[in-house]
Amino acid sequence: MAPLLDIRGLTTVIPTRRGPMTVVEDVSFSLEAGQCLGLVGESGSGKSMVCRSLLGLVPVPGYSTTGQALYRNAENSIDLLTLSEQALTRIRGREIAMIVQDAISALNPVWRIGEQITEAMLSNGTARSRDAARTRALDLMRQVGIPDSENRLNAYPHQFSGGMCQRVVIAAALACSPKVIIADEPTTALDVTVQDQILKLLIALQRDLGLGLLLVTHDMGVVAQSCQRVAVMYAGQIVEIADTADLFAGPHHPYSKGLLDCTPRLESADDSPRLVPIPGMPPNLAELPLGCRFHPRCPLATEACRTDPIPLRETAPGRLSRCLRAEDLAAMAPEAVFA
Amino acid sequence: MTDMRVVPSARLPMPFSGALVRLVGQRGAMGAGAVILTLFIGASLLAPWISPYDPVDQNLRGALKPPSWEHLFGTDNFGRDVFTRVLYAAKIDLRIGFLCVFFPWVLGTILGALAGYFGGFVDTVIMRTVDTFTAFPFLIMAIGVIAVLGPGVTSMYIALTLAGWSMYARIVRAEVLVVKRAEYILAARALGYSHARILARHILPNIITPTIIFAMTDIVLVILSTTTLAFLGLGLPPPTPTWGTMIAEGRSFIFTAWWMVTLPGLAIVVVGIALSLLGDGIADWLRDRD
Repeated sequence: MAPLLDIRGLTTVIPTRRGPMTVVEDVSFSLEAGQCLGLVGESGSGKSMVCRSLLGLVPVPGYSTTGQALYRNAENSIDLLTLSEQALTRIRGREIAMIVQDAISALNPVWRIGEQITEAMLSNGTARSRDAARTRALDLMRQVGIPDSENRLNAYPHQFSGGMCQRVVIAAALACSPKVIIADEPTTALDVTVQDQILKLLIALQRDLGLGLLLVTHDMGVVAQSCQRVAVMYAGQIVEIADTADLFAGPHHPYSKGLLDCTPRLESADDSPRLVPIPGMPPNLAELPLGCRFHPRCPLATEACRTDPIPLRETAPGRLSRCLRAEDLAAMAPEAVFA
Repeated sequence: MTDMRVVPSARLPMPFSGALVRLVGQRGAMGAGAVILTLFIGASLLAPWISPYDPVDQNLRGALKPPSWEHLFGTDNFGRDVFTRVLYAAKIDLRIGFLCVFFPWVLGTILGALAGYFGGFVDTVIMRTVDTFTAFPFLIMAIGVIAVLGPGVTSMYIALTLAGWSMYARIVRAEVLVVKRAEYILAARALGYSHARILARHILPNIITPTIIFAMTDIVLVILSTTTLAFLGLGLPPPTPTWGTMIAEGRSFIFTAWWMVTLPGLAIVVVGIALSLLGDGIADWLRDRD
């Protein structure tokens, strides 16, 4: 089956006082219906920028995107990056919906919960009447697990907890039956216990409705729990993309390895090595190192890593890595890299 | 008065209203303001039944009579009952006062919202226009516009709207700049709402309170401005009664018929205090609620 979203060489450049800055460089991945793709990386690695570039929502005036982002629906395929603002407005919500990071501030404080959900349907004519929109809103609220939905419909966001707000945000995103959901760190602002509930809800909805879910997170635990495939971003580039199981079994990029090493795991509690942090800091995008962007922090870096840009290459069937020493890394003992 | 308009939250420096607030408390002061204003509005609407006299019919034989039970506020140099004229004038003055806050509020809000939301070229054009308008003192601007258009109700509206809208535009623009960066605006765009919809339905309800607070304190200043304009001969043409024109006409009789100037002046003072008490009260209430 052809993928829902097929992104090829997405590059986003924003103007800054010191000249143009490339915040997303040559990002390619595809997302199929019923698939959950994780996009992981540290803060500032360009994850959110990828999402926003797709929907034309980069919050910087004068930014530019190049590459291709093909979205295929039943009839045809559209390159999102070439669409006008007006055409994009028709895509947003109805074809591709985005869930933003902070659910509590993602709801308009002066609007009732019900209105936040029905607004999505009334704004583009998905619902024919207020009553129809209201009925659907009640359905959606039940679907996302908001109890007592009849009464909650008339509550204001400040009367809701963070987790409940996130459920409302998800309901509003689902309101116009989009095919793709982009969830930009949907659980970051929530308590750990609530994070888990929301994540399970998202995954369940994604499976039931056969959605494509692009899940942005910095939490490897979240990825392990929910994604079939994962793309790791570092300094604006994808450094590794693989099936989740493969990546967890043996990463092909030292940065992915570093991320895994600093994620706590239950099963290895007694005999495990301690959590190992990645030394150093992510680079400033204005002063990127030559060659591999990760080499200043990489224990495996060689002379070749410091000179030329590293291409993304296939290191195994279905796996891509931007590391010259991917095979060496795969052959190493698990503890040996950052210790 | 022009100085006061520059400070957005300027309150009337009325020692009396301050003392009254201390005396009866915030709520009581607001209530007193509301009661006085209601009385004035009621009396102005019921003027034809309250007073047996006509506000414009002249009776030269009964001119310049001092206050008596027959003529509560006396009569003017044309023999017209001053009390009747004060009542009829209240209707006109209050209407102009409210509308001359309402129109600038609407115009300033729309333009300020457009400038703040779209930024860039739109922002530059609108805000440089605002700068140009604020460069002229409030009354000078109003006088200039009326001088061009000729005195009358319509030119009064136009003049005070042109003189007053820029403050609202500034307030609204500043608020929109803050709100448009909120997550819920990004969320709204991610769900495919159009710019017009986001601006009108998602941003404006969040920023309207400070403009109402400013409008509340602005009403008194605008009413005083209309009387000032009328006093300068730029109000409504005679014989229509307004407080400002009544004072202007009575000016030359101040030593022989003090009531012609003093009593309409007193009406302005009382309405001014009432409005400022009510406006401050509502503004405080809106602020607390936020």
